Amino acid sequence: MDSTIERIAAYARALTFESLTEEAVHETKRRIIDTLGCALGGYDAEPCRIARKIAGRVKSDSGGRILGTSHRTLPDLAAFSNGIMARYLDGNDAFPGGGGHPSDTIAPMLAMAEDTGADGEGLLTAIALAYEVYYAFFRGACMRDHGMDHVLYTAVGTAVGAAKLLGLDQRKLAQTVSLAITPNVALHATRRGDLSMWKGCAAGNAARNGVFAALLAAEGMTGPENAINGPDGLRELVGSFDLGELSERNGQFKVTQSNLKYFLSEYHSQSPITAALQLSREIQPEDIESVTVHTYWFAWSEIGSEPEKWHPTTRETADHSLPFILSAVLIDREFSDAIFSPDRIRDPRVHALADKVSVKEDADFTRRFPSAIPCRLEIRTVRGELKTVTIDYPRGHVRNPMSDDEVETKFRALAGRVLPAARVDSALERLWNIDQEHDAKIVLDAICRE
Amino acid sequence: MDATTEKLVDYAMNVQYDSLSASTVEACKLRILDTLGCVAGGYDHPVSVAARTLAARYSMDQPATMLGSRARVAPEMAAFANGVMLRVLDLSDMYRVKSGGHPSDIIAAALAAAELGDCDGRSLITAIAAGYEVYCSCCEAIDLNSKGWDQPVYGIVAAALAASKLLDLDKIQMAHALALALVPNMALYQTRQGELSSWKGCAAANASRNALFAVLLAKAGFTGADAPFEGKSGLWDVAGRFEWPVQVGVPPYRIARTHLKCFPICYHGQSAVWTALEMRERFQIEDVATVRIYTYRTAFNLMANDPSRWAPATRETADHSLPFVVSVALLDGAVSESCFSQSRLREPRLAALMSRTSVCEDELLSMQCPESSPCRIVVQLKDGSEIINDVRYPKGHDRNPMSAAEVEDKFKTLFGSYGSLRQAKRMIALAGELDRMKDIGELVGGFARRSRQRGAGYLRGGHPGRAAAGGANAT
Repeated sequence: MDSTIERIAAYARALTFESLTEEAVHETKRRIIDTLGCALGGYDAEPCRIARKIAGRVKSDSGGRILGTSHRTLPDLAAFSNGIMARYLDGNDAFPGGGGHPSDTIAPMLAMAEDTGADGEGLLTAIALAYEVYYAFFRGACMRDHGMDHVLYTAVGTAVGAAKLLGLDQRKLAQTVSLAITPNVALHATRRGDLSMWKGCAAGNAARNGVFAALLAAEGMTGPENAINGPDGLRELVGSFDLGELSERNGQFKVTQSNLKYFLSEYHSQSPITAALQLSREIQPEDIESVTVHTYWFAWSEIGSEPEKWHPTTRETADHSLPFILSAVLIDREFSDAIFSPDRIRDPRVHALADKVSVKEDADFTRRFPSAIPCRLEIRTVRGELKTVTIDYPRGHVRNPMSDDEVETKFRALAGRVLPAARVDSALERLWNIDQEHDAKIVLDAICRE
Repeated sequence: MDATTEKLVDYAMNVQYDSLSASTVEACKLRILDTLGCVAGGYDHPVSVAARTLAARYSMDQPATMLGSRARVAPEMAAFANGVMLRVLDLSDMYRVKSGGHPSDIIAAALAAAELGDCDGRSLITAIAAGYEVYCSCCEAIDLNSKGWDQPVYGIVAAALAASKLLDLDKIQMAHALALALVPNMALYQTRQGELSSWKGCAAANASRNALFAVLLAKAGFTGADAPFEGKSGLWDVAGRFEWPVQVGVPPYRIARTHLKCFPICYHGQSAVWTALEMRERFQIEDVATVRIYTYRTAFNLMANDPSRWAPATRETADHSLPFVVSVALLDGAVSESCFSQSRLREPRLAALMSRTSVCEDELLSMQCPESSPCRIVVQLKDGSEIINDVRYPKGHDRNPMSAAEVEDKFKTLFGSYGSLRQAKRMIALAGELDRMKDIGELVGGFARRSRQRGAGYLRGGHPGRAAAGGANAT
């Protein structure tokens, strides 16, 4: 078997709750709370409703519940519906620079924890492990640079965490990795041009297939021997692949390193939104002559270059559009994800202002990214004034972290859309103490709407 | 929607049963029968059992059937289990021009979709013929394998179109189904390199599972990437630009050109086994000094390019090893499922013969491929004399086709390990009546295993090659 895969399998087998630092445990809880908030906030979105219907076709005595309901389905289908809910608002954490959203592995871990009857410590360990493997693959190769999508990291991270919860031995853990990589490379076309629902659903689908890989390995399925290092394996596909470091006892676990989103919007819009909010206090929208966003290449390429971004017609394009988001923020003088509602996407005032927005790459910013998330916003008024503000680390970045209170506030706002306030409070109480629980399914109990 | 998507969708929507020629309908029915035979033969294989065990958890109200059982499960999981069973013995049909694969893999997705959609036999035939056309034409257009991509990449496109047709998706939904199938399922060719794993026989079944899932998503209202083939970071960007050569309005015909197999091994070993079987009467095996196998590039790359092919540790490697299958043919006079047991893989006599076997690519033979599937074997005896034999078109090749009777014999032989001869004959009749069948449930129901008792035959030494050889000799 592939030496890189063996290394992952040995690491996964050996990792225990005791080897996690206190910080890692706490940060994992913060990300569970943050992700569940996003899932509840996105509950009523169209793709989430369809995903629940698809997952709900199957009823099972085992498996995991569809989030927010008491319906148990098989864990890969629960991973699908719950993963889509968690991601659809684009409010969950991120590894900037093509690393996607590692918390996409949380929903499948909840499903697997329920399926396997894991306790709170087991759940936290599996999530920390999934983050670790996810990040190691992102460090191993940036799929995006090769026209492919980050959801491969989701599939592999999910698969390893799921295999851990299933208690698979090292050999089957290795098979899981192979079975997660080989069929699940995805095209970056998902994030190009006019965006479809799939932008927010590709990760839930990868989580589904990651869980399936672990279930296959548990049944004894064997995967290709050298899925990373062998001929026509992952390394050949992307040219080079060097698995990143995997954190050991007392190390800096990667679950502590992802950036949370303060605003429910694409990660690279976080700094520009912060800047626009500051300037909007001084400028009336009708006084704006032009808006220039100076940013790093990645943000320019992802959310500020294609013509579709200036006049989005879908929610998915709108929430990946700097011109649209900034225009809406400058008009509203606040940020709310209500700007992505069908009515606002057609708002002529927003479209008119978007025509005044230009996005430019700043070479110095490109050099500083991704360790910083820099943005300089310049607004020229019709009277010829120039207002400028620069942001390096938006709130939620590891260098400018959200406090626990802010994590709670975000959760309350999102969960409050579907749960009564008392329910939200009791859910938070339980989630902060998840490591004390004998049965991890308490997480899904806490946010059940029924 | 990009132009390739639009063409494929228009093509699939345009194919109607009435436009199919009689020979296409016949070829399709024969391939369905051949595929069901493979399911029967592979039913008790441990990988099939594992796939059914997993799929059986997914029971639901709007299900499809896992073949052989009466268990009704989520249709995508029925497609998975059925896809594993039909492929696990590596006896299903084959097509290779620039790329290659096993177009009958799509039958797994089509059958589950047909059941879910309460379709009749004609709809199933039409969808399968259209799916084969999409699969085979891609194999003609581009060598995706040499770019590192495996069969599921085009298989999933064909399977998604066939299933979309059966489930009556409209044009826009079908386009989304294609994007939802293609974009997340780029499978690596690593599956077919080095020591082979059980995934070799399951990768296509997984594609059927995800093809059907994509179709169900599209039907439920999901939207997928706008330009999955031609757009930025679409298939062309990672595999090269190519025209998918289906022509809207031209009825499908390629299904009649796929090659059927006689032996449960990689297609590129079929002619080598025939070559060995034909010549083995002309010498005593103890007298053999060396065996030299001359073959074409694809066969060399798949079945002789790695030291594991001289000491296969798994069934999957053994059935993709020219030294192994030729040695077995020379020693046993047959190549059947029983030669892949763990004890056979370790047998000293086999190892000794393999160690005296060499394989080389012959450029002249490579030039004849894919039009033919040529092989030459030179056996040198200890006294220095040489015995030479050639086969260009193994039985089942479209230039040396199996007759309907021979396909039926193969089916009966494979069915022997699964059910009674009476049931086998009943299935042959049902497959023959497929174009008049009102409800596809009849075919699926007819296949349900009647008892746990094994029939005589296949695993005990009978092999479909013999049946076909017998048929060939009689003509």
